[in-house]
Formats: sequence, C-alpha cells, structure tokens
Amino acid sequence: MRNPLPHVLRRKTRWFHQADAYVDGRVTPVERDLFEERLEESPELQEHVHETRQLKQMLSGLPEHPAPRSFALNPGMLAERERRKAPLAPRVALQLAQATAVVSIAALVFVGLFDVSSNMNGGAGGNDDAAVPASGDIESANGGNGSGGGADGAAPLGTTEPPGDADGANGPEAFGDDAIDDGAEGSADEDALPEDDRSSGESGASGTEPAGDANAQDASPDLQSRSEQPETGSGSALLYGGLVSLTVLAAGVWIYAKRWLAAYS
Amino acid sequence: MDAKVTTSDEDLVRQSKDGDLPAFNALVERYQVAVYNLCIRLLGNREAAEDAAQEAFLSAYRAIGRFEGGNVRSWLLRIAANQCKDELRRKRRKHRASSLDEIFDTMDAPVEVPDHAESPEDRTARSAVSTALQDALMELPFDQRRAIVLVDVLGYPYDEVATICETTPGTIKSRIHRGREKLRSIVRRNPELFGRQSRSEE
Repeated sequence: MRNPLPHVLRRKTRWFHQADAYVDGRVTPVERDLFEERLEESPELQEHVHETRQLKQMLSGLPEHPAPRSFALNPGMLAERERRKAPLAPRVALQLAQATAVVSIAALVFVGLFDVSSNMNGGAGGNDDAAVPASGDIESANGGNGSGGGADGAAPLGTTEPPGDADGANGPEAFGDDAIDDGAEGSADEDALPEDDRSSGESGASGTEPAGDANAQDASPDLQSRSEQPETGSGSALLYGGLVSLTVLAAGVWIYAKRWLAAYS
Repeated sequence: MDAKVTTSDEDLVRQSKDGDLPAFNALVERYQVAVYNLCIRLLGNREAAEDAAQEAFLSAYRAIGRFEGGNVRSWLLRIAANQCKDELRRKRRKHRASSLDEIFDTMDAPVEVPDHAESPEDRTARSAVSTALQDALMELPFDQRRAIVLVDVLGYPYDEVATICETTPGTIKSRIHRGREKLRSIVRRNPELFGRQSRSEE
C-alpha cells in the first residue's frame, strides 16, 4: 500500500501531461506503447501515474446520492415561476439605458470627429472643395451607422442561443448582451444629428476661406461664419457636456436596472 | 405510466414541446438523479443542490421549445451546471464572500451522509475521506470542478463533457489536468486522511 507521497519537484514534460490521457484510456495504441516505454524508464513518471490513478479511484468512489424527492413539475410551480419573473419596468429601463448609452457614446465620437475635421478644414484655409470632404465624412459616417432595429424586448428573455442556458437565471444577463448588440446597430436619432452638424460644419468650413477668396458673395457667409465661430465653440462644449451627462445618466440607470433585475433572478 | 417505460427521449421531448407536462415529468424522473448528483458535487450542499436541481428542471421546461435534438441528458446537465454557476454567483454577490466556503454553510447540510449498513469504523473513515474530497473539490475554480466532477466522479466521456460545458474536448482535457494537479497538492497536504482510505481499500 502506498501513501500519497510528499511533494516532489517534477519537470513539466509532455509525458506528465500525457499521463492523464493514459490513465483515462484516451491514447492510441502507438501512444500507449511509447508512453509505457517511457514509464519503465522513469520512476517519477510511475509515481505520477500511480497518484493520478489513486486520485481518480477516490473520486469515482464518491457515493452517488439518491434524489431526495421527485423533482417533477406541477402547474403550481410553473405559475409561481411566472410570478417570480422580473416585472417589465426594470427590463425596459435596462434596454433604454443601454440604447441611450450606446447612442450617446456614438454621438460623442461622431461630434468629436466632425469637430476635428472642421478645425482641420478651417486651418488649411481651403477653398470651396474643403466643404466637400466634410460632407463626405458626414455621409460616410451616416452610412457606417446601421439602421438595425432596436432590441426585441420580449424575445431575448429566455431565447439566448445555447439551449442549455438556465432561462430565468441567465435571462437578464443574456438579455443585456443581446440588447447591447442590438443597440450598437444604431437608431433613427443618429440620422438627425449629422444634418444639424452638416449645416454648422459647412458654415464653419466656408468660414475659413476668406483669406484666399475676395468674392463678395463669399464675404457675407464668411462674416457670418466668423461671428458664429465663438457660438459654435460654446455650442460644441454644450453639446459635449450634454452627451457626457447623458452617457453618465444612462450608465447609472443601466447599473440600477441590472441590480433590480438581479433581485428577481 | 406506460410512457415512462417505453417512450424514447425524442418522443418525450416532442410531447413536451406540445405542452404535455406529464411527458416532461417522465424526462425529469429519468434524469433527476444525474442532475441532482451534479448539483450536489458542484455546490457542496444538499439543500442548495435541491433548489438548483428544481430550478434547472423549471428552466428546462421553459426552454424545451428551443431544444433542437441531441442528447437530452447532456442538455439537462448543461442547464443544471449553468444553474449552479449562477447560484454561486448570486450567493457571492449577496454575501460579498471572497471564498466558496463562505457562500454555503456546509455544516448545515453536509453532502456526505454515512451509510448505516457499514461498520462504525468504516463508516467514519469513508465519511471523513468523502467529506475531505468534497471539500477539496470546492477549492477548485468552477470550470475545473465541473470538468473533474463530470469525468472522474460521474464518469461521463470527454466528448459528452465538452458538450455539457459548451467547449472543446481539448479544453476539457486541460481543465482536467489542472484540476487534478490542484487536487493532488491538496491530497498531499492531508496524507494521513487519504492514506487511511487507500489502506482500507487495499
């Protein structure tokens, strides 16, 4: 009879890794022969295999427990389970918070990019063509934002892909993941934003032109845009501040709704 | 009654999808021991295991419409394992416990119940070793514990365990290896306890 040996330093060779497969009978005949050759040469490996077999024997010897009672379902249990399902409010709040957070972050990024490109166009003192890339950027940004539908409120709950998911337990988290993916596809609000920025962007772009352009028709828009620049600057700050506040608020609602849902899971 | 004896899993699943609760309960009766034993080994507590097993069957009934065929036992065990994982996570969140020992008070509902048919000496020895081994299992990370329980304790093949754990056989092999390494070090810390078991067997 062998007692478990005290700890011995062992090199992590592939033979020791293969010992598990050997003990489990998961090696091919060729692998088995090679392993047994190595086994004969290495007392360390022999001890490792012995310990692994001993451990496996102890684990398989753990008693099987009979079911303490029948786990058969009855209509009362099903009704109780339905009653325990989370109410609509936290689920809706979670969806809204996630969508708001995603939209506001996307808007922040978009506004930031637009601001940067406006400043670059203005700094180059460009011509009318400078307005075109800005518009093009806006359009490409619009095209990049998908028009996917919002998260399906009822469906995700309990419809996560792996059939093995515990429905009620995993529901809120999986629901949240689905909602994140759906929210990232964007919403109609993103379409409205660029039009407003487009108009301000174009005026901003043309506002940097006057250095090279003596055309009277361009002068008044330049003057207008020059006078608008300070307002545009403070307007941008207001917009940034609003979007950041919205993101923080959405994050707060998100966290609260998740905790609220967790109480029901 | 006849349905329980002669009906295949596929037929019971089909009937359950049509809302036939007795058909689903026939599946429950067929696999409740397997599910309960998985839960008890994963959670280390009888009461928690009962709750988890019941919740697993409730979840399975709700999800039966999405079952697309295959091994029903694997599917039920997967739901049960996920239920246990969620239960541990919920308890950890509620009690802000840093170790699994704090999550369930194992003294209230110990897993190992002595077999009164044995002699008192054997009963005590076996119970002590089983309890120590269960405690050792609870020291493993959940994924390793699940793999070890399914392969070594419950004896399922690697391929089925990979399906239950929603991963590949290679990952299961890796988790088994790491889990056994850790258990080996725990066994070495208690040589007298585990040595007594080996002596009684030989």
